[in-house]
Amino acid sequence: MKRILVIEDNETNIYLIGFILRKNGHEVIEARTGEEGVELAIKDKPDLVLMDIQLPGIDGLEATKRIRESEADGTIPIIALTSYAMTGDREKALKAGCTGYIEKPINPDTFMNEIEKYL
Amino acid sequence: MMKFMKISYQILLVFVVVIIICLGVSGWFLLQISENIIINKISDGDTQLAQRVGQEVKVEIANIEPVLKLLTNSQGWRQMDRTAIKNDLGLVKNNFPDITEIYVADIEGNQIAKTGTEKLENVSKIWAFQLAKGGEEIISNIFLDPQTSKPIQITTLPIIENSKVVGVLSAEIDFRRIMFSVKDIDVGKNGSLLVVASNGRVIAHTYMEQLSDLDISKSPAVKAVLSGQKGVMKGYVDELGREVLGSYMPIWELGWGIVVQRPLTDINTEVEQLGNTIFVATIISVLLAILVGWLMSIKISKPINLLANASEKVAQGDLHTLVNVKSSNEIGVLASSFNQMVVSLRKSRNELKQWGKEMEKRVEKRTEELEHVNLKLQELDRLKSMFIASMSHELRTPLNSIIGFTGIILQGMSGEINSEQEKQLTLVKNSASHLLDLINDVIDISKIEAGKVEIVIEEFDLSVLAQEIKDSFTVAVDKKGLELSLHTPPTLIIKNDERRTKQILVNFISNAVKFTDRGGIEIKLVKKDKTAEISVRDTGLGVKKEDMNKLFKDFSRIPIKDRTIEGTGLGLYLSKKIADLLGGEIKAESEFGKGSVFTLILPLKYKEAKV
Repeated sequence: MKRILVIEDNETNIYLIGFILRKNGHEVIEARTGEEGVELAIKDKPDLVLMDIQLPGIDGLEATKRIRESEADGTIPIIALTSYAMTGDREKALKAGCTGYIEKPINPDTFMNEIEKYL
Repeated sequence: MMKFMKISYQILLVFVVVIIICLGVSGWFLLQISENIIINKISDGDTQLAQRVGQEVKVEIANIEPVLKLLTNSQGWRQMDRTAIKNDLGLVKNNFPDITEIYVADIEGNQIAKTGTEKLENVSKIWAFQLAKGGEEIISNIFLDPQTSKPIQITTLPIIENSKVVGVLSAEIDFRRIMFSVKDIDVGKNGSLLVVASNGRVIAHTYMEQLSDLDISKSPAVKAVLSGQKGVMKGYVDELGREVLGSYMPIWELGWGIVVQRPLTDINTEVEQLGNTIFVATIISVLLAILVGWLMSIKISKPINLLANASEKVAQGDLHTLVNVKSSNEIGVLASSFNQMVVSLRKSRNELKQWGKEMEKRVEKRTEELEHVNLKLQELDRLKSMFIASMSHELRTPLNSIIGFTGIILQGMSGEINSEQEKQLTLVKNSASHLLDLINDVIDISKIEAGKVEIVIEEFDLSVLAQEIKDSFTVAVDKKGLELSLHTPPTLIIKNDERRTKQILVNFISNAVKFTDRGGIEIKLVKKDKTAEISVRDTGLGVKKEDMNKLFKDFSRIPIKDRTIEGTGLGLYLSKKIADLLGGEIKAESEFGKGSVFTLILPLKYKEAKV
């Protein structure tokens, strides 16, 4: 069982991702804004962070940078959830310090396989 | 290129060269003619001189003998009338000053009459008397009197009465006067005149006193004159050893001859002097010609220079240049035409300027309008982009949920479902996926058309990408029972946008899978000199020839009999647009009913988009 932090502002998406992760036996921490996500990432020390890029307040890229700044070793895998429509998001995400990315919409058939690569 | 030379110099040069040639040639001819004229003049003069001298000599000498003969035949003389003879001798002496001594002797040799005061002598011992006594007429050669050293000739004639010699007349003729007169005749500085007797002896010669022994026997002029010819001879060597021009004239009555000779050096000097005069005259003429030519060339070239300078100025754009040439010849016409041309040029230029200003104003106005329109268009474009972005977001969020949750339910995560429910949910999921693809394609196209696509260029291995894509199609291919093969070199590194390349290849293969029912699909990678070629060959339906041009059009779907194949009609259209962006191209070949080959050709190194 791993502790996974999901930072996502869309309730439906949080429910969907949380549902799949919990079904696969993981503990899920939820955050609705970038600031909250950064706080929880520092406080709860999750095994993995799923980071939406488009967020109210500070966006996913800024949040990622702040998490990376706070860490000593920089080892938490942060997976960006990028939108197909936003070309260049993936590159920006990797530049900001993300470990990898998963394209939205998530595919329930392959989602867990991709997550497990980083756990 | 020809060397530039001022027109005045050209004219002057031609002028001077022609003048020098003309004057030179005419001078040379003049010299030749003058030499002949000089020679003719001299020889004419000399011939006249010879004739005159001959005349004088003839008068002086030749008349003596006939007069004496006449006297010896007179009655008084035949009678040996002493008084008559004495009287006649006095007359002869007075008329012929060259007769120095004359006497008459009887047959015994006793002088019966004599000029002068000397006593009468007996001359019977003198050889001339003895010969004359025999009836002979003796005319001696000229010789020097041993006593007086005078050049003399003695003429001795018999006096005959009834065929019997009754007495002898003897006269001594002094040639000094003739000689001296010949010596004094002016034949120029170095010329000479000689009188030769019929026996070839020199009677008189200009240089007789200076030169004692004059051998004239070899002179061709002397030979000619003694044979009775008159004429001129040039270039022989005379008795003084000089090359001369000789003019000769015989005294026919005596068989004597007169020759006037002038050294050729004198004549040549004269010719030379004439030549010098001609030369100086030629030089003066040439100088004059140069001066005149120079003035003329200036006069001719001045208006031409003015024209040349003016046209140069005009060529540099100064249209206020006019030429002030008032020649009444072709140059004048040229100048006035030139001025007209400049004026009309100026007029056209001003018109052009005016027109240009007007055009500028119009362009400015149009530009303003265009800017206005452009701003509007930009605003519209921004609105369109915003609309598409928000629409896509708004459309995709619910779709994400639909796809996500149908997936979860189909996986049985939310509990058991029956087979009917599974079938219906699968339909929901497929429809949603199709809708998502459609939205994604529309977004892509609108972005490409707006030029807002960012492409990410980096090196990647095309064979690895092809393998990945092939793997992702394994399930779909297996489902239809098709073969899917990949032929690729171990690595094929290119520098381009990996994700966009993948998008095109996925489109090719998914099309192939859609339209192929039997057989298989072959993916082939080939590295060329500067490009990489990825071809996808299928054994599917193929495309009719007349439909080939519809392949890459937007929303065009080629109708297929008895079948509905899912698709947006945007796939190949989008692929072509992306290929252009990547600096590549797409080729399609197909045979209806047998299959198709779609090939993506990409540069090994991305340089610049074609669009």
